[in-house]
Amino acid sequence: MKLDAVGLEVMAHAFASVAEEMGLVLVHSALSPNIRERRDASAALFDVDGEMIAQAAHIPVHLGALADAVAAVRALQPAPGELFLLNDPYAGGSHLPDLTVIGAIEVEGDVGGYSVVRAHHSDIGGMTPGSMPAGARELYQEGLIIPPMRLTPELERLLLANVRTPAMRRGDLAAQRAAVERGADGLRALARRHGWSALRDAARELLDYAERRTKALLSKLTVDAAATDYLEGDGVVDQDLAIRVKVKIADGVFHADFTGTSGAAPGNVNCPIAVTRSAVLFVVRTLLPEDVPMNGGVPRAVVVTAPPGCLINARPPSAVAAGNVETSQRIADTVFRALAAGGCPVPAQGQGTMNNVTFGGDGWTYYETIGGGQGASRGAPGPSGVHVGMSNTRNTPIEVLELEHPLRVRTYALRRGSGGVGKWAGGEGVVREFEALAPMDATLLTERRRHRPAGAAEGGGGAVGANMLNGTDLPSKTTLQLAVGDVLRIDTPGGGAWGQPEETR
Amino acid sequence: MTRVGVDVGGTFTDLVAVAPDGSLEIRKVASTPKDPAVGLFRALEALGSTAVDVLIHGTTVATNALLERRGARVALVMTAGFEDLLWLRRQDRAALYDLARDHPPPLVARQDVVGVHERMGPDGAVVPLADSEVARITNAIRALAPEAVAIALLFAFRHPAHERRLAAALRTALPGVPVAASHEVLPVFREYERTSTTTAEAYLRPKVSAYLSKTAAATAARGVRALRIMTSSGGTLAPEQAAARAASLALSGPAGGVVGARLLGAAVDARELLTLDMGGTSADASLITGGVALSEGAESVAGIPLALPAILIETVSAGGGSIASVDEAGALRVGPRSAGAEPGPACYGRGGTEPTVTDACLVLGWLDSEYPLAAGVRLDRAAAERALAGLAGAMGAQDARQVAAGIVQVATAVMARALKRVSVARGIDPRGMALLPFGGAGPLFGCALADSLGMSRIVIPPHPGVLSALGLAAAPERVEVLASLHRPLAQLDAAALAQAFQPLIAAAAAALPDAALTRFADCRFAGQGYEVTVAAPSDDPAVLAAAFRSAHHARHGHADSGQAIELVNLRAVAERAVRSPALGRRAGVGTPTAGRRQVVMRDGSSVRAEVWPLGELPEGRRLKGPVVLAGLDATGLIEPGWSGMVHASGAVIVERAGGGGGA
Repeated sequence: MKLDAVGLEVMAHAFASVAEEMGLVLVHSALSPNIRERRDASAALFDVDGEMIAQAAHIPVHLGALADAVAAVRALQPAPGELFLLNDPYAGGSHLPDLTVIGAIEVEGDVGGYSVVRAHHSDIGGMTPGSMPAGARELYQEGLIIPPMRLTPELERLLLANVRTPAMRRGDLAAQRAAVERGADGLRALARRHGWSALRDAARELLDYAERRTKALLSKLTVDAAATDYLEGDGVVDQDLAIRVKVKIADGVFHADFTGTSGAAPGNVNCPIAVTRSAVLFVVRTLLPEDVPMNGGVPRAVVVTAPPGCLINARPPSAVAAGNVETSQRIADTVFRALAAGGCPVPAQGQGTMNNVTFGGDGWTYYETIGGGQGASRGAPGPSGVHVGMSNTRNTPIEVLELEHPLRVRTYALRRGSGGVGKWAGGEGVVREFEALAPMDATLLTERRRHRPAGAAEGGGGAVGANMLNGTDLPSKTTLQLAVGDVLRIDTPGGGAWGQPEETR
Repeated sequence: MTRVGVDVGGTFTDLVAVAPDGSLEIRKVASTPKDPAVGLFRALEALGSTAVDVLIHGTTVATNALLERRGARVALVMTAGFEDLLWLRRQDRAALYDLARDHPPPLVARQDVVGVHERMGPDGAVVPLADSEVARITNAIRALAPEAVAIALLFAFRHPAHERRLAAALRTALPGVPVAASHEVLPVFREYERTSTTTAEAYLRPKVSAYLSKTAAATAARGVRALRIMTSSGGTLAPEQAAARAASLALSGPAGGVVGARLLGAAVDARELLTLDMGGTSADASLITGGVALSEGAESVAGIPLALPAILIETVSAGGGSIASVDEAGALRVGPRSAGAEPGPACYGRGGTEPTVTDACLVLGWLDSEYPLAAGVRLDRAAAERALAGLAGAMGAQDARQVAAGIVQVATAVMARALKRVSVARGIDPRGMALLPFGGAGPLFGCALADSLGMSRIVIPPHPGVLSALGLAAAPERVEVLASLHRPLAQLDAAALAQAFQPLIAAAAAALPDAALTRFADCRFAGQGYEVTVAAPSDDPAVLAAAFRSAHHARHGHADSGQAIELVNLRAVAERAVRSPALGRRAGVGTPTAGRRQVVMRDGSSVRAEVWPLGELPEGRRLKGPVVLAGLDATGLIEPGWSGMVHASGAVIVERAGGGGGA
């Protein structure tokens, strides 16, 4: 069937509703605050060739990266109806806490597509509770590694035997499985209604449509420019690690080449190429009109190259826990900066970190990330106290956090004066102060503690963030023990401003 | 006893009077947005000298105050250290990829937030509230001279003592200034949503109570014996009760439609219904299961999170006035822009030139230019064709007709998505349900929507354009009381469960004497973040556990029998039903005759259709599609392949011809 203007819109809605349903099933029945309150999860539907047809709009860092997970499962020659699990960053995963459940959807006796749900579990074993360690040097220290495997009761037993909070993991996995099943049911229902072969054609045409829209937009731009930005150490070494990118937009194709980026880091800020592609794809997506369907057609117009084994195209056994959350942010920042250098009026830099905080004690773990300042755009100030770039998780309500864990939140406030000064101001960061009510471990993985988020068009930069224990500064990436009464304070960075302030011009 | 429902919409004010013998009188007048009460009284005047015993009012006063940001100046009292909570929201950004977009600002100015030194934790006071602090806060609020005060302290849903003391002090110090405390407005956990809801209550209360007292006085002067106000949850309150629950009126308007749909569904013996109210700028989808409207906390209204009980309503931007356009890669879009009532669709001839859904329906022959819309608006077919022809080039369509067919298909897809969100997305399979489309244009899309959801039964009301007003006339009196409990079910025995419900039952019974009382419990598996509400008629915890497991399995596809269950909130509902109107006994019904005209279906084929007057057909009349059902207040369409039968109520039950199921 050749889809006309009407058919495109109808089918885009149909596939998008299936992905939305999957996401709702997941958050409504998951157990951990990180999935149900913060929604640190994604759901998507893939076609039989491994291209994404639709995704529930949750977390950008999961965006492009899910395609690699489906490719890894397809290599196992799945039978119709089989379920798979993986978290290996070097075989379709991102970092170890992200468990990805993939169902090979049975349609008319064959595999008709894939239903994919990725969710960040708040423990997957390894050297620290919460499995987001600072100072890990090898992937093996970060937790249990699961290459793409069939999800059998035996595999689940193995997994539960290797984590600190098995009951919660079992509940979250059950919710993931239910969401995957819902996706499979949704695709089969569409196949019954429209006819299977017509549905497959429609999915293909939707991908072509998104590709056309992306290339139409990109072909209006000509960019050939480079930029460099830095990560502030990796939890093992403290020196800056360079990310360099050369962006070339020509003939409707966006090419990001990371030649010149630092080599593998000894600590865990490395990331697999799938995460790097996600970050580049995120930047491209911000250039597109909102109504372009987010599917596998968009990445067809994006090419990412990086030297094998470097910081952002990691090889085993490099550790990667912070790569997915922090390095991905800096990659997006750097690509934006290259676009600015090439003459695109892109926004100023946002806080550029997710401010990862993990707590764990006797029989419990808790993970959260904290919002900050968004960079200002030409024509609008940067929003305050939000997640920027590659994350969009919500906060955990204070009343939920304190009901379930031995923590008290003493302050949760906007960090006034932290946004960059300019014609359009940068967004403000956040202050969040925790008091320990029991002995516990805490791990911080944070960035922008010494290089401020840059302004654009001569706007001022945002304030750098700070981590403090009882008023004393802490490093950006660290693991520490908290005693009862200790107060951990996180000040998150502000966003950069856009343009010079009126009075100084 | 004559009951009168008055639904004040954006364009029209509809009135339905139910006489003591059950017969109906219908009036429709233009709305008066500047002062909605004017339209209300014009509608009453149009009714003539009929004595009105009860007037039930669905109002958009609260909704519009939120949309237009014209509520009271509020001072907000919060736990010190958390004054920015309304700005921090839940920390997710407004749009994933549009980095310039921000959330709408809160209803209170930041300088009007006052932090109080106190702190409750999960187990009670962590920092006590000193008397001197109460005095300091009272002075600080007095100095701000607000029009209303909201108090929202951490953990007040469980430990309200500090809020109580502050509320009492402020009420004494500031007589005449409404004070809304979070433990009274919404005693449930999650501080952001509770604070937002409490602030909205304070923001709306002065405007809503002024409007209600003015309306109550004026209706009393007109001889109306009692006034009742519709709430978002589909029941009515006395005006003085509603004035103290202003935020619960945010969906007062659309709730009336759902009640009307439930009533009609009961009359035709359809207890599982998907409903769709298609208006001028948007369409509202809702769901009725087991004869009861699905009720879940409204996520937000006009960008303001409101966690109060509300009938589940999903709104999409697809109404008669929604404008069609073609994007740069060749996809046809409908909405979210709307031509509204002014200038309105091109065919209204009031200066609109952009093509709308109504223009498409006219060009397809679904609407008749010889037949004025209820508004008394003559439809100009040539103007509609000109507007549609403008899109033909960009769409690669041959003519206005083909453009029109495309527009109705896209509008159908947009509305279908709203219907799926209330059904499939909640694990409820629509295929065995009936679709009840209403509003002026809803019944034109019944067959198309049923097709896209795989449904095979449609109920077209006798008066689809005034179903909301009919629902108001028939709405039960209803009070809902809730409280957070947060206890493992295993810790409760029958006596403890009964004891926990007792204060809620007492409060509900006091608010609405002589009412039927029902109990509900919001349960979840320990650790989950979202609850499933189940009826709790029995004190036996095992019965409740079984009901929850079965509801969870139906909704989410799994339910681990070994997993512990937590009882999160308790609800008590007091409801007093009113006598239902006898549908179908409308005065002045003549003997109808069929007309004929050429109409174009959404697949582009041209067919000759019969045209029958909707609402005036005799019981038992069979109709074989294609048929146009032309009513005074709405138009319906039975497509080829579907056939209809007129029910005693005057509704037309449409089913797939040959009884074959759908997808």
